[in-house]
Amino acid sequence: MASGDNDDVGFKHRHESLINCPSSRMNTNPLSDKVDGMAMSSISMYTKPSNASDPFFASGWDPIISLSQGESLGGSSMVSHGEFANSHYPLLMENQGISGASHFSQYQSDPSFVELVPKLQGFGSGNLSEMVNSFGLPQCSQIANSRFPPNYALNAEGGNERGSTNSTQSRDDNQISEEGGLVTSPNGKRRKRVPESSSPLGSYQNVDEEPQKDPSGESSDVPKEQDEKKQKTEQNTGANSRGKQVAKQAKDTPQTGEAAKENYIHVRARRGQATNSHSLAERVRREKISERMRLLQELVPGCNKITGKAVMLDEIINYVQSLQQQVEFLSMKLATVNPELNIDLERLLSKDILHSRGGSAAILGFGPGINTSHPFSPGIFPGTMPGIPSTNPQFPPMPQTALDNEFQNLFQMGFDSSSAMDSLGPS
Amino acid sequence: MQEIFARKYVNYLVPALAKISKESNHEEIEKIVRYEADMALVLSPEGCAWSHALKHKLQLNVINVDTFPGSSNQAQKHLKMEDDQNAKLLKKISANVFPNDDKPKRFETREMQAAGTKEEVEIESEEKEMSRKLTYIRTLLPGGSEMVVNDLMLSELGSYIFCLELQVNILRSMVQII
Repeated sequence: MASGDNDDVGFKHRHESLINCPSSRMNTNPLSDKVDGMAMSSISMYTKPSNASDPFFASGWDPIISLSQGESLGGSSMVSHGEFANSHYPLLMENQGISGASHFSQYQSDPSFVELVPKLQGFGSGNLSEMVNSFGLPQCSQIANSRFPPNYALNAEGGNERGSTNSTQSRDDNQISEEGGLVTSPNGKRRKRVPESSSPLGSYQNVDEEPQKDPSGESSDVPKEQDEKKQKTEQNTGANSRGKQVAKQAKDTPQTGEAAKENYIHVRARRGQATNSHSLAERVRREKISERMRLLQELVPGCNKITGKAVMLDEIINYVQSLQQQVEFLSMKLATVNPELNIDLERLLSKDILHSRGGSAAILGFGPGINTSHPFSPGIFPGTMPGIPSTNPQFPPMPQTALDNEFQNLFQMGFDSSSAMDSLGPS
Repeated sequence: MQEIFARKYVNYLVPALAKISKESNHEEIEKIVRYEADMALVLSPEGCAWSHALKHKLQLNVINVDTFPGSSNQAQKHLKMEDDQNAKLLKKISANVFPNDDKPKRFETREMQAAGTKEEVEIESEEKEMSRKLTYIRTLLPGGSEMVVNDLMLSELGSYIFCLELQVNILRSMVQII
């Protein structure tokens, strides 16, 4: 959707600026700050760059901060990440399989992301200083190794407190630390690159949550994590409407490099969740519903530019009501005309069927359930739907020509039919 | 797809209209025509839940009104025979979907998570409004009130809108030709 695209751009800018800003902070005072402190500073840094992303970003941080504070950070999330990711793995597989693979392959070539993983994990545990110390230095040296599993293993070594029970929490923390990590890494600039952005994000998620499964299904991990995070974003952010947009954007993230960055940002905004299976199921369901809404948007004329479900639902309601009214009106009209031309009706309609059916086939290049665009052209409703833009220029001429032919035939037959009807009438 | 629909629709409607007794008064003819138009809509699409629901509804209306001519009687018999099938299909559709009112529940959970700020209050009202709209849409869709809001219902809605468009198209061309 258009809104999604705009958000993507805004997120990307935000992300880029984010990389630049926190670098100094991370290097100088990352360890001593606590999770919330880091978040606060990050928030201030994040709000600098783009205005569009500011409100979302700022609000996104709040739940993270509160979440990290509220939940037991000590327990920490490394273990839960793996568990959570594993549990969601099969479910996520079906949603986004292909896009993740491309991202993942790109990710492997970018060692900078490796740094992010350990730092995030440390974040989740709450011992930021400890985690950063343990993760940052060893990983910088090991950045050369682009393989996820080894990086993750290094992180595991460095971060002993990963075993958090709340995977979502750790995920959020990871996101936070990821940003910091991005800044500190010498390759932080790579994040800006669009082609690589998706891969690092995807890979980041992979490493973070399912390092063990990397060799087996890395591509699937990426989409899964993205989906998970997207879901969490939906459910956890205080701004539900924003969450919806985020979800929709996140859905598109695996398909574009820029989107990956957005997905990353959305993940940050997510809050911890108690039952992962429920959230996953809800996310899947929500994706399906959004997909259907998009189909409906294509079906209802004039809804291509509409963004937002509420307006879309209004349009659908109006359209269905108008269609039903038209059916009633036309049936009434047919009823009035029917008794006069009852006998000729069959003959005329047989011709009409051929013409209108051909016209309908040409005009209605859409089938129920088929994900194609252009639906029923409004050209056939000249009077009743004036506001609907006609995107099919071929439509109007066809039925008219067909009808003109029919009218000609009708006139020709009319003389015969009238006499026939007179003869039949009295009988 | 639409060709098949159009062919079926017209093939049903034209003979049905032709069979309408000219002796019936205007109002009855109107009712009959509307009924036949809807009936044609019911029989034309293939395997849509709303078509079964609409058939069920028409059948109930037919039973209530006994002044229909012979053509509709045949339709009545047809409907009665498939009544059980319709009921089963509707139940099946309802069973396949998630428990009732997924959207309101989801909104409720979000509300609980929200701290009660202005934005959250607005979001809650938006969600409620959206659920109200969805309920209304389900009122418009035949059999929709029995469906849960999920992707199945929305696909049914899509097919219903599509078939409505076809129906209007066909009726309009018929009226123009006559």
